[in-house]
Amino acid sequence: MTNHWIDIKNADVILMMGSNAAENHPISFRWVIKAMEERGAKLIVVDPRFTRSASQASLYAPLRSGTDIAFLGGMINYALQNDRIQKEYVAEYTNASYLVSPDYAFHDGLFSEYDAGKRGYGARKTWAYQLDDKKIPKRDLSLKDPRCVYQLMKEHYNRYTPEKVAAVTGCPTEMFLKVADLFTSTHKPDRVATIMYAMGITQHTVGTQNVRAFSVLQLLMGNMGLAGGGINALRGESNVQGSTDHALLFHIIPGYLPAPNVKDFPSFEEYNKKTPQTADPMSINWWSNRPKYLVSLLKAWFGDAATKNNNFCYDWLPKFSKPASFILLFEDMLKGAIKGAFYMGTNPLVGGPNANRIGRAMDKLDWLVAVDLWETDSATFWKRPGAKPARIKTEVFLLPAASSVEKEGSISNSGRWAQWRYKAVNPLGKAKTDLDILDLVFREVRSLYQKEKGKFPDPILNSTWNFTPQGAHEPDPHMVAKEINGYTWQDRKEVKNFLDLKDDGSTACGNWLYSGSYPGKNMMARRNGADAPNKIGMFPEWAWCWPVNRRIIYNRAAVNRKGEPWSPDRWVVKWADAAWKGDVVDGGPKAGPADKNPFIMNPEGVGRLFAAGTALADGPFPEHYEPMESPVRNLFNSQKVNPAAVILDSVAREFGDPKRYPYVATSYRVVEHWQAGAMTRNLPWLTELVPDMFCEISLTLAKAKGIKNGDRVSIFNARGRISAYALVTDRIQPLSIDGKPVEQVGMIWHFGHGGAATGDAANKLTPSIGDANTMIPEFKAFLVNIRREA
Amino acid sequence: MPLTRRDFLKLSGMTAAGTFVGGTAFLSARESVDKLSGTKESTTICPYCGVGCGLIVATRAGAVVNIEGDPDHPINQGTLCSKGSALYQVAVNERRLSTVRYRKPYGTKWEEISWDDAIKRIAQRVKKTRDVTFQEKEGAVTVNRTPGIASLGGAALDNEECYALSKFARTLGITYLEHQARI
Amino acid sequence: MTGKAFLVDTTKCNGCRACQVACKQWNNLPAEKTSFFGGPEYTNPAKLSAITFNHVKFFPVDRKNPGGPIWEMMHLKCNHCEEANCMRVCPQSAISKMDGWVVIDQSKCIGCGACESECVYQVPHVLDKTRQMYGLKKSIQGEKSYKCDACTANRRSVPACAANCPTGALAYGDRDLLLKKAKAVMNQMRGKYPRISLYGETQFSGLRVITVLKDTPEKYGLPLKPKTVNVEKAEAVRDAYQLLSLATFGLPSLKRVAYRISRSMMG
Repeated sequence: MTNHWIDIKNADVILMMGSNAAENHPISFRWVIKAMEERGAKLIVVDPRFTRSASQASLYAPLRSGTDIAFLGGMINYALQNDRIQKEYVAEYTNASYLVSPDYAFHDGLFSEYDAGKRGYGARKTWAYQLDDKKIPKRDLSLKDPRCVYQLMKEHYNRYTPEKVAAVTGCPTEMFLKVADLFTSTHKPDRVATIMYAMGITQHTVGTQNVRAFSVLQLLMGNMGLAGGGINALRGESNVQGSTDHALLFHIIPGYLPAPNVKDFPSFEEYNKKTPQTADPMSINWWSNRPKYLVSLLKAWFGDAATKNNNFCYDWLPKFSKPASFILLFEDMLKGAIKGAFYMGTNPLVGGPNANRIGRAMDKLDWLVAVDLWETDSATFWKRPGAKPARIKTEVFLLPAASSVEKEGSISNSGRWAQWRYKAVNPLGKAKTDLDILDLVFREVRSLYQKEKGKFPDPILNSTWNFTPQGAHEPDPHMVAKEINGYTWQDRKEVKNFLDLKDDGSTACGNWLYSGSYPGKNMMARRNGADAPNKIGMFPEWAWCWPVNRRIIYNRAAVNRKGEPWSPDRWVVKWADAAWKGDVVDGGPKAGPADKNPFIMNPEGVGRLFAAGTALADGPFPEHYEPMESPVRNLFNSQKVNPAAVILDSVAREFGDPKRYPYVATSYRVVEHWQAGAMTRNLPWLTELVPDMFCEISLTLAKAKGIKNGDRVSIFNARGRISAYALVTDRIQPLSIDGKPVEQVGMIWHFGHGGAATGDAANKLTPSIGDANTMIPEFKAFLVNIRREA
Repeated sequence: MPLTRRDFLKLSGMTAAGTFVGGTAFLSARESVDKLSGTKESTTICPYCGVGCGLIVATRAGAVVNIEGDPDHPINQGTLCSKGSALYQVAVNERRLSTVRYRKPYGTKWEEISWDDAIKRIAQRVKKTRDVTFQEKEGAVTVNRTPGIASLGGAALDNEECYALSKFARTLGITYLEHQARI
Repeated sequence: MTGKAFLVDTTKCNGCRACQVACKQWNNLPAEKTSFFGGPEYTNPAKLSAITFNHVKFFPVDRKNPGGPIWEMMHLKCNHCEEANCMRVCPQSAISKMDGWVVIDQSKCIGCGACESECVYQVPHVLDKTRQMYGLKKSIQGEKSYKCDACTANRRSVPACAANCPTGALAYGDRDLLLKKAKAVMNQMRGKYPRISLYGETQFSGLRVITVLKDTPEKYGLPLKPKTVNVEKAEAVRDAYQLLSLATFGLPSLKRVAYRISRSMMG
């Protein structure tokens, strides 16, 4: 979230799209309702189903799953055609005025430089700005130059007419117009809209571009940086924010530094040579600090061994040469390339796409270490229905983990608040904390390398790994927290925040983003319930949030060039008497509002309506493509699916033919269960509420298929077949797509064969294809057929 | 940790109970008990979604007796959803794992083994797989990676644990490192 | 009628059912065995029971108006009637008032089911057989009647369900103030729900659960003018039951038959 949970109360309009927050982030509704009650805010819910969130909406707009860009592109077009944009903000704080390369082009769904053979866009040199002789992007502040972003954008989206939007999405034109009108009413400086989204937006082959479309809208409205505004990703796990920040992903290392890889960063020199640069004196370009963060991280990991002479052991970090994202990881496991695996509180056999395939991949493992509170479906993959344990070679260690109330440490919520938890009781039975388990395994591995010969033991033997205080037997999370915060190498004194970090090896810091969370004192444990003087619910002394306790990021954009808040009644920061007041201002307190641009993480310093350069794999403007599996043709261009999405040969024959599988399926969650279900299907009070796997279908589909509410049905496609109860409900209706009705089948994905309440995993039906940028699987739009079970 | 509003609530609860005894409406011989009397309380944050609601865990003699919303917490102000309300059943649940389980190759059931045994065997597997699959170079580029091992998960771990896992995996050379943020 | 009460504002309820679970948690009540759903949409279990004191009932969504479908959810628990039928008909005087709340003293309850039969809201239920409490080495005795006691037995300043409600759909406070609030909500929401209504102000001389409904009470099966059991008749039934119960050998099924016979005899 750019903003945070309480801040929702400051919104005038709340667009909830690709999110069912009432079910998946229920307490957010405390603040949604507060905004509605106290500000008269309006809630817009856009969703294929009429959900529990929709039940509270001022406007509910249905749309076919996978058509968000059609809808949002329509809203962008509506804003541009009707001149409902925040002009001063757009001119000053976005790249609307920037001139784009004369070679940039877009034709029939393809941007310039498309290479059909490689299914991708190559160097993307034409997606760049025109530069002046000082290497600063050229601008036309009148926004009239035909090569300026504003004009290119206007041209790109003029095809997204309300009628076309309706034909593609299935949302009736009148309803679409109502939504567009209400949302764009926030183009006025003193009206603000927030956007709440979740996996309904990201789990598509165009997931990143869906989010990009939000960014474009919010920049046009001037809603970024303001209280009650922003783009708010609602994160589904209690610490998926923190686990991402600490880079449990192949492509990054802690603090969103790119992970070393053969192609881009073969050496330390190359890594630093690619540090983002700017020639624009208005740009803060925060990533210019990257070398300090990298060196401090290496110092934190390899200590005395990391010296200037050996490039701080940069080459000790592993380098990947091909992407290893979730889908591809399991493809390699299926090929037998991966021999052993650690599962730390995760259940991919239920949560991953194409679950039958995941099961077959796991059969190839020599060993699996599963750490969990429960006997999960994945830890018992060898007992899954249809498997023959006597033929599965995998050795499985299932280690009992402590629950959240049985250990101490911090977790980061969606609003980036790192909050400290205390240990209430000892771990159950012989359970241990995950930290304890990692520590035991690491120290045992290290002692093996000390005793025996082995491959390149240097990083292991020289690791600074020591989280156990003298005289203690177990690692101490406070010691880890201090390493994350960072300290001076010489005298081991915690640094105040990342401004203290150096690229010369004199500082160590495990994650620059969290620098300041434990500067000698545990800021994450703070419990001061007092609000700040601007009274917008920031609660700056409650816990701590990254970066540097900034509660609303991009907050420089909350004021005009004079430093006056766009919306004075809910000001975030303001510039008065040559000083900033309010929230911790972005980019440092010295530069005034007229001196620097607000979007400090972009080298150009402004918000990107047009994603210049190589930031994205699939286009500088979001464009509508159909999901990989779709029953209809693309009405916007002749590309069916995102032309930059990776289609794996190994699964190509599994994609569904709409003639055999005519129904648009989508997967989702309910408030009573959580994720892959181990944490809820074992809880009697929750399984009382939702005891069984079920799907939701319309009255019309039920009638056509002879299905009654409560019947058992089979849902199937080329990847698998599952059994479920049918909930026949008018909350789901067929949508009229290009004049033809399209039925939808919705299903929860919480169930699996393990645990107390069992049922078939919906993910047996989901495809192994992902977003062109992130490879997040397309869980939200695929094809199935359905029939009543005899 | 300070429990200001909470203390007030507990106190007012006591006072209200006092009026029951003295009030004329009190006809029942029913027992009225204070479930939280003599408990120790500590705060925690909900392990389910990413809202980050505060809860209070009450324990007596080393056992959890109650978990409910923390009224002082600025986000949830004492309220919870159905999952958060059920957190007690995570702490107190017969289905929780309490011992190390081991399944041997081609085995059809779990066996119980000791922690010592498990850690020793796991470390041996890690070293062997690392040594067998380790790649130092790809062409001229130093890669120092262990393609034979993958690590998945972590979104339910504490920050300190996530960081330790990131360091653990990378120090061992693991590049197949993924978790729930990707799915 | 003064004192404390609950306000159920269904315009703010989105059916998260935190109230249902919070009640079970605070009271260590066991879960019920359910399958699929027990009623429309996500309703589960089907209704209130001797181990379920709070219940959210979902109604089928009404999509007659395409501009604004209406999906209703209703929170049910004991209404704690000012003139409570259950209290009048209990042959053992096991039901009484505690600070205005209607409570059952299980030590006196004989499980005859009189309260269960006479409650127009179908709130109290006789537990058929003894159940283990969740997480405690204690049991809930079978053949006794149970229902919400507004957290007076497991006492706390704000009942668990209301303390827990995320959206403020379920509030607890002074009844006078809550009634005012309810009327304000009605004025505010009438545009969206033209048939918005209030329930509980007058029924049984006033309920301690005031409910703001998106539609008329009839739509939810709530009687506008429910009948109070006549005190004299109730006494006669109780006398008849005292006599008949001598022949029930303490068997709950027979007790229930005996109660029904007594009722029809005096009817």
